[in-house]
Amino acid sequence: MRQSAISWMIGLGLFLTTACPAPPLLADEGVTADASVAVDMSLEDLLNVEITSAARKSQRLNDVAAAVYVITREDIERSGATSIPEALRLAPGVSVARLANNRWAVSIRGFNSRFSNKLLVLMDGRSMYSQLFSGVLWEVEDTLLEDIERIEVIRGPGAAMWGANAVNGVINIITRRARDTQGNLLVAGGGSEESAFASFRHGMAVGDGHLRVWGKAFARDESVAPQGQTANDDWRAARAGFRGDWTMGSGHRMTVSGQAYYGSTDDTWLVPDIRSPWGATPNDVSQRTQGGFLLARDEWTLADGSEAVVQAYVSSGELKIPGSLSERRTTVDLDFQHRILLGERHDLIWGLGYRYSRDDISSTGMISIRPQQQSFSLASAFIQDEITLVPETLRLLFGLRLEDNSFSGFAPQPSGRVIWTPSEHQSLWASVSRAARIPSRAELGADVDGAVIPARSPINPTPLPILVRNFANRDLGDEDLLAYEMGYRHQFGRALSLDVALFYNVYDDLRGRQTGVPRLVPPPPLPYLLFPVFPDNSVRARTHGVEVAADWYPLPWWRIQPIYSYLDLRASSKTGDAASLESVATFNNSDPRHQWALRSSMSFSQRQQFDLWLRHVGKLATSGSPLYVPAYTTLDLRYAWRPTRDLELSLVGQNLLDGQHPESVASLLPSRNLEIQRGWYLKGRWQF
Amino acid sequence: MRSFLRYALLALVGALATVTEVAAQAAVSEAQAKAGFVLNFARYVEWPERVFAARDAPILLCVLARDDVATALTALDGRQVQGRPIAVRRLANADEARPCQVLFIAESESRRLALTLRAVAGQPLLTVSDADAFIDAGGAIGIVRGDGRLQFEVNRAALDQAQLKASSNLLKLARNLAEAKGRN
Repeated sequence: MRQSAISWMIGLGLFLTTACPAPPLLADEGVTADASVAVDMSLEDLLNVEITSAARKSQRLNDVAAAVYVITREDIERSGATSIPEALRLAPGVSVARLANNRWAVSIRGFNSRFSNKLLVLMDGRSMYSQLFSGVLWEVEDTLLEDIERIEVIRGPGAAMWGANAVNGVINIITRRARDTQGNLLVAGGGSEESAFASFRHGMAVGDGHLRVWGKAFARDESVAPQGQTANDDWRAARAGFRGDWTMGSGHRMTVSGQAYYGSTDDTWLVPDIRSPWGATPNDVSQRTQGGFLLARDEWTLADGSEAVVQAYVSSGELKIPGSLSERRTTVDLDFQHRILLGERHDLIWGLGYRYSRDDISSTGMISIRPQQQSFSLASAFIQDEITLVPETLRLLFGLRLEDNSFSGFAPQPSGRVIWTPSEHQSLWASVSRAARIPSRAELGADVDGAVIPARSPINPTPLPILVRNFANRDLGDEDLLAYEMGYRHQFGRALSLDVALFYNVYDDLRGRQTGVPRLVPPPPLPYLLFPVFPDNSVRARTHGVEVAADWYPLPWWRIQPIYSYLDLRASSKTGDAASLESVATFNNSDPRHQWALRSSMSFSQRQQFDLWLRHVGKLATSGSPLYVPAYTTLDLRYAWRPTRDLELSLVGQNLLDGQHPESVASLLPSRNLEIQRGWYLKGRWQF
Repeated sequence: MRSFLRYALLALVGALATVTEVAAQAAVSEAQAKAGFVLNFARYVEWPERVFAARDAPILLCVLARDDVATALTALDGRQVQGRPIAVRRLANADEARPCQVLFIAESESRRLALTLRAVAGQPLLTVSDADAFIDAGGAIGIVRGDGRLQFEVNRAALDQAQLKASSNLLKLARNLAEAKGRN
């Protein structure tokens, strides 16, 4: 039965891709025969003309000397994705593994884990990086998906421009201007995994500008354990926000935005326990997060024609896992940028930034973080010069960022790029850059129970249980990357574009671990052997890979976007220590070697859309290893119907090719390994 | 749930079977549509009489672009608007824009947008662009995308500064000035 439904869906997909009635041929879009038609149209008619060309996106992209992929609002909507991490699967070179219904591991070009730490994620210039874990808690950060204008995914180091932690990539989420979101929007729906969701937005004119206010809430269903039992990972969240944009008389453009959120995500931890004959006791935990931010930005053009931006934000949040951890943090961030065009050749940007973050952390049980309160500060300065050597043909970019932070000190991060655009349809670029990752608060101050090996078990024949405990290392240094990249883009006629990127990355001082001296800990409550493990900078790695993205319009109403990513990651230990080798094994087995996806988007007369998204992710590790995750191929389908221009109903099926599949294994925190289920949901979207 | 899936699929197939209007699409490329917009803007904007040397002097449409919009705009050469012929001229840089009445700046030229707008500030010149956030940068009319269609935004302060009068017909269709309504 299940099988037949699936073969049906595939059959339907094939039917659509082959047997759809072709519209009377518009031939190539470049035809001039019809030019007079558009030109003689009235404004009212022109406002109703449907536009299908992809030219806009590729034109802007053709100019960038980096591996950039832009996920547009339309891409997100047509993918059926219901969260930011799910939408990131649309970009090549990005690994997205859903650990549970409320947790993701997202990385670019390797080193994937729930606390992937080599990625900088920004939303409208605000860093979403958690100082505590040096990663992004995807279950905490969110916005109204309909408000996202685009997500720029920049693979490769962006440190010279964006700052520390932009080691393997930068994800830049840009929301729409308030004036583009006028009127009311109501989105509501529900289904099997997406139990229920609703969002509302209201946009209005205020003074010489516009303002929108919005709110959203959802509840998500639980996933399942490998054997099919229901997992304890449901998710409820609510948030509200606003954004206002004003143009002042003086030419200043002000943006003010803010958000408040609340979320509750459940999980079951297998807490290491020396009293347990299995070494661990399952413990249901409930993570509660709440907080908000306020951001203001002012952009203006100076008298000499140069442009300046000043931005400030305050964010404050609380993360509570009763029985183990509670973190309260307030961050203040200031940023200034100035762009000057010097003559015909130099396009100069320089800037200054300062961030101050203060936390208050209490911890009990398996986690102990010290000191309880700590502040972190980071000051940075950067400059980038884009030099035009041959107008419209050859450009050089030099960037340098100097950063000083209170955790690990001074780090210079330079980059050099060159881009050659022999025509407006093709470009070839290459770059060399250096980036650093600052150690996180947890790495410098957290002691965490890793595992208990019960007494008289195959690997522990002693009569005492062994507790492996990860200790903090206050002397941990930065991780370092030297990256070599190149890429090529080509627009073939009006209907096809191709983007290829190659990279070779050399990492040093990656965080590994080293074993300390075991000792006997006397009762109470029980005697046990303590095996301490400390983080160190003992791992080296080299990665290389290729990412390919194509964008093809076989017909004006049909778009096909294939992507492919290849990654080869080889880590090695500088010390040969057993714990360091274990870290190496984790690095070497956390990322799929091959990934590909194929998207097909069909638009029937603006009233109906049919979208198909086929994805394949290669295996992790080898069968038998605790890190093993088999390869999987899955399919999402979406059908949308617009009875009127302002109302859209859509039906989305997700992960249709199997009942459930795992995408990752738990890392760091002792969560259970869970699997992602097939799901569907129905959604209504009404603008009024 | 599985049976729901089945019904959903049936409904979907039914819906698709009724799609006979698939073919009814207009054959207009984005570049041509943009040229159509520019022509209409020229139709609905009034320049101070002194900018024209003679009663039948042409409206000079200058183009700062390398892309296919430039090609589509070139095709407007010789058309009549407000009783005047349109003359199209392609520019190498903004300093040559002084005699123009309309200046189209393509998105591909947006890198130097601030400088370009500065070079033409205060002149009786209608600036139009398909660059992102053009009116925020001080441009007069921005062509934008929304809802799979092209729309436009008007910067009234910029029009005033350039001593141009836009007809109410134009203003009421501008996305940013229209009565608050979703459609985006």
